[in-house]
Amino acid sequence: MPGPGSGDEPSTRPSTRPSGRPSGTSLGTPSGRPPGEPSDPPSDPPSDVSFDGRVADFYSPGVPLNRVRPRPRATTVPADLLLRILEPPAVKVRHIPLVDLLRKPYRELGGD
Amino acid sequence: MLVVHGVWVDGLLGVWAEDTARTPVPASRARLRRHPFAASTGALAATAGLIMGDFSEEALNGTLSELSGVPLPVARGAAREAGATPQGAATTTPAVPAAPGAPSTTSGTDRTGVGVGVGVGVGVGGTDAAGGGSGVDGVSTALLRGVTGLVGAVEARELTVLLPGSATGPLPSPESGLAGRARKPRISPWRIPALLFRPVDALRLLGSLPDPVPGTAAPAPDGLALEDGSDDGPAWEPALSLRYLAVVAEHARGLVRRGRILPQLVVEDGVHAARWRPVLTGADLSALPGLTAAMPPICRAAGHERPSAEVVGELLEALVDGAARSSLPGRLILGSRPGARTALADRWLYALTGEDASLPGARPAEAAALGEALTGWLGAAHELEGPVRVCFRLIEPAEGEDTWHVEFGLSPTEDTDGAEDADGADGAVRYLPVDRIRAGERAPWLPERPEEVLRAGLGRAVRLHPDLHTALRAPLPSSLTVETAWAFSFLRHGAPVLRAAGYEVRLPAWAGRQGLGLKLTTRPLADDHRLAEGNEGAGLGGSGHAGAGLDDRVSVRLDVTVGDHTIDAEELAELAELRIPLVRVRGRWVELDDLQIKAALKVIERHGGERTVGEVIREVVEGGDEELPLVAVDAHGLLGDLLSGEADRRLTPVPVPRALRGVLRPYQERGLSWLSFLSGLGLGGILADDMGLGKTVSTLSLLLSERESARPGESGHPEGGAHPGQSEQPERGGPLGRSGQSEQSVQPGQGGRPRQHGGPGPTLLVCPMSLIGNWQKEASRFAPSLRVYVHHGGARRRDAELTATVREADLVVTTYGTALRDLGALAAIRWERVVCDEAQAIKNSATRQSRAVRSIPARTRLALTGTPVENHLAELWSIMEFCNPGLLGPARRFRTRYQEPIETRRDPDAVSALKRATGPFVLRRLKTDRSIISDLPSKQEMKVWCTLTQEQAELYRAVAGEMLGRIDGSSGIERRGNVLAAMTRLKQICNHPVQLLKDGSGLAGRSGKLTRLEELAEEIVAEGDKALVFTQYAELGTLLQPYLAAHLDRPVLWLHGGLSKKRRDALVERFQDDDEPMLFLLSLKAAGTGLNLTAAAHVIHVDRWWNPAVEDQATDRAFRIGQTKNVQVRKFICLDTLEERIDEMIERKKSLAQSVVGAGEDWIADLSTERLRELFRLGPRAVS
Repeated sequence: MPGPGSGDEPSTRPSTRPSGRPSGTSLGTPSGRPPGEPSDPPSDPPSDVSFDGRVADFYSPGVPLNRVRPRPRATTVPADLLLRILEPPAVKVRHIPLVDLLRKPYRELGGD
Repeated sequence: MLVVHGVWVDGLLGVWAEDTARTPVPASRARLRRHPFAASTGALAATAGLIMGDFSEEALNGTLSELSGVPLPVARGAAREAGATPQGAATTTPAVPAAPGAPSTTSGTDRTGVGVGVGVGVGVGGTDAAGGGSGVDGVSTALLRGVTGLVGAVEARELTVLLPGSATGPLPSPESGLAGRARKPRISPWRIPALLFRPVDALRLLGSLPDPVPGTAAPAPDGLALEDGSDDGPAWEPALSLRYLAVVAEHARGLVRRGRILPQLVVEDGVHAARWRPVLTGADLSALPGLTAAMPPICRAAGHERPSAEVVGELLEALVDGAARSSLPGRLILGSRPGARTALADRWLYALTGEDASLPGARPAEAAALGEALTGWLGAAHELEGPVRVCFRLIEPAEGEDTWHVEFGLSPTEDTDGAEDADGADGAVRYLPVDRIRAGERAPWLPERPEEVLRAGLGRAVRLHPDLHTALRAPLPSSLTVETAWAFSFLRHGAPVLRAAGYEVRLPAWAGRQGLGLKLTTRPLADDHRLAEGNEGAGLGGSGHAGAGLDDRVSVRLDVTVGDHTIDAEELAELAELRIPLVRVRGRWVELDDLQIKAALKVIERHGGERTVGEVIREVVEGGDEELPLVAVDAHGLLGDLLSGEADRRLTPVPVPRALRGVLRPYQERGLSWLSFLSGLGLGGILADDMGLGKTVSTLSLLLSERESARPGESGHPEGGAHPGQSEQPERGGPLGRSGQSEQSVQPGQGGRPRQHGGPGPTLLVCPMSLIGNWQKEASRFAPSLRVYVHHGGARRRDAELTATVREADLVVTTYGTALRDLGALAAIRWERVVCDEAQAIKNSATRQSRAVRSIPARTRLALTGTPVENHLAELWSIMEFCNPGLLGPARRFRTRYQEPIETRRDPDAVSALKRATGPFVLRRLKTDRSIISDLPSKQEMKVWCTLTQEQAELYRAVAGEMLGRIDGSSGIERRGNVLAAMTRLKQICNHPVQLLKDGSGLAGRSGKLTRLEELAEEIVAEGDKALVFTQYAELGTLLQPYLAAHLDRPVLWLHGGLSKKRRDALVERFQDDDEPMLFLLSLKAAGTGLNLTAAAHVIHVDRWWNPAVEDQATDRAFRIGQTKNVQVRKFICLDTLEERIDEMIERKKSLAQSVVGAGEDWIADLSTERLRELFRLGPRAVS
């Protein structure tokens, strides 16, 4: 049996482990995405200063951590919003649409 | 102490630590060398157990006692002793078979940083074929598993990590406080023992780190790192790399909590697996560049230098998957576990929960089909937020009509602030209705085919708010005409969901605001005019001491309002009859609901009556009900002054106490009136003036004022400040130390003024240890008539002796740590007032410290702080809960009523309500306030009194004794040299023991000056100010720069004589022009003249040159032409040491001093040995 990733795979492959991504690929773009499909991040990821240029602050954050901590958000948004807004995928498990199986667990993620 | 770092390696969190107890020794010359002061995996595992709460200290010690040779994460002092024993040095680790299920490790160096020839895998349930093999550090694997088993599944591995350093060793991190030098540091690989955590366990570990507030060190195992030297400080501390990873983990948990995840089929190491992936759009996507830029290089240094964007991507994906698995139920579908031949989708769903995500043997065609569907799903999710988005604009009916419109349009996604204007401030079009687009209007951001964007957007919007489906019926939809019921449903249900999904929703300004509100009007009763305007002299706090004021009765009327209009019972009844709770009342649309109407009807029924002033205040603070909030208050007289939140400006001034030795500035006088007023009513308050505005002197004035009010016939002694009947120069050894004396050496019951009948009782002041000396000195300077007792240290009074001592005192000063330890004794005393200085110390209401201080009974309370809210509003609740227990209601109510609406959506109604509720009890004046600025001189000099730690004191005594012996036995030039050497050493000790010892040990918690500097620096930085910090010792600056940078989590500049002119100029330019750095350390000699550093509004002289001219010259780097702010200058002086005595000599004979001491410290060398003995003597007040 040919293993995953063999030549038998169709052109649209499942996403791969991120460590296999090319350097600098931003997140939010699923690996294996067909070119041009999802939108790209608003700006390029900041280019890294090489380690040699950061010996003085090798252990320190490049910007204060307080600036990058997540900000509190309104809690009124239902956690299953994504499932509701997207066209459901054509995936069924035991003849049940995947989205129907996920809806309740998603709501519970938000503490509903 | 262990400084615990984090690296991301091979999809796992790698945790390693520097052990500051281990003396760095030169490493071997091997190509790949072992890190010379990295902690062993045993110590790491024990620390992880502490962090994650899996261990009690006893269990930890019991387990670790079996780990011979493993350094325990003990307190620093003990660890230093243990440091003499080499542990795990250069151990060659025999390979131990990996545990089943744990990733196998291959020999040889690989790109993921797994070490050469080390194949250790220790995990839960792992087996050790050797039975008693050795782990990475030579630790018994079985014992290591015993430890790690308690903390979850972890792997012990030796990593290869790139670090800066020299041939002799890696440079230590700033957090370690270890000294390390390398002329030209270069990056090279080091072998480091580490524990590796899977994402689920990594989340637990990262979520268990202590409060990330700067300066909060991790507690020692007994849970309390007490401040006065009763233990040796923290056993471990998370490094910034670990804190950074914790921030990423917070993001990951947030994504999962908000459902911003989708399941995917991925391939890992050639095997299919079911994984959860983040959906990053909008603010989540915008946060990525910041997270990437923030990543400390060490986090991506395992094996080889990896791009930070790649590592952030991996981190978020792995942590999101872990967080989803932790949050989801064990199974997503009922039924038995699918077998290998079951349909892949079934197996995949099963593998989305639980530990095992792998799907071995998936058939390629099946995997491809499933993968394609899921990938497309994820892609569509990312497509949701393109550069242009659909916009819905709800337009209210014109006057006299009932028809609403929902207009469709497009707007650029970047404009996310929801501004109602169609055009931006720059004139650029930010919103285009569809009709105008069809008419040919264009904007640069408009897509090529706007109709397609609109159609797709509307199609998705219908799934979120089905009422919109009629829009899709039109061939060219542009708007909907709807009725009021539809509009109400859109407002209540559609708009929030659409906004959350990335649509722009434009609503009328009134939408979302409270419809009905409550107005409270109070008036004095007909027979009681004490509350009437112009009659403040009596009753409610007129003199600040009318204790019955809260019991005065007033008439109260409650009205229901819509906006500025009051509505009567008849109108309300009509509203209650309406079918649709969206109505126009007197020209203004309001959203109503049954609960609101019912609440309003109840109010109308009771309408009003009589209340006491206390009840009115409570009612105002409570702010009405959730359904019917209080939106307006109309009160007259003093009650109106109080509730206005401007009491300090409206109250009749309280006379400045005659016993005060000093002049209050006008705003301080107003502050005194406010303090007296609240105190007279028995209410607590928060004096939250900016730093440097005189909270200390205001508090002392209050104590003096109430003592003079209680004894109107007496006065403070205008000349000497002593009370009548006492000598102007109080004797040492009196019953209670007067301020500025050695309180603990006195005997109670001898002399002193007994408390007069009916006079105010003692005030207990709780402050950080570093401020005790400052309070003593300031009381001595401004209020010498106050009897001060410092309750602190081993010799402090206890039991009946304490009670008797307190009875004779006006002011009792203690520390937060001592208040916690002596809670029983202190809580048994009836205090007139409890004051918390630097009240941020009680900002977390759940800490033992906060609870202890709150539980001390007092007639009234006062909190002093320059930053009443540092991080979030709950801190304000906690401080208010101390000042006026119960007044703001339970924390949960505060959270839902104020905190969440303000912090999540900056709700203006909630902001107003919070101001109304807390305004009467908070007095905050800012330096930026023009009326305050005009009161201040443009340069304000202050002395900051610091105390020594026990360690400093012991060292000081020893060095002073030794040097005096040498001085006594020498003469001429040799004696002169000895005197100057003694001076230097003692000053170094006053700065920090490490400056003298030069042993590379840690800095934290070992110097009173450093503690004070940390506190000031935090406050200055929090206020957005900049500061210059001068020292005459280059070695101190070199120690402080990395330490403060790590402590503040910000860059700190250091200018010294070793820098080239070009480099100095670059530093000055950076400080002047950039927002950061905000702290600039400078050598007094190198930077005392010539530089222009006007970006700083604060100057701190950490040590003294004792030459006013030299210090002034340095100060003038900031205080010069071009300076637009007032400059605060602080000079640090250690109490009861040579620093204080020389300062006194200068102050006593200032003119003489300027001529005598003009040459710096040389004149001291000419003093006699006896004078020097007195000069160097360490007094009892020196030690904290």
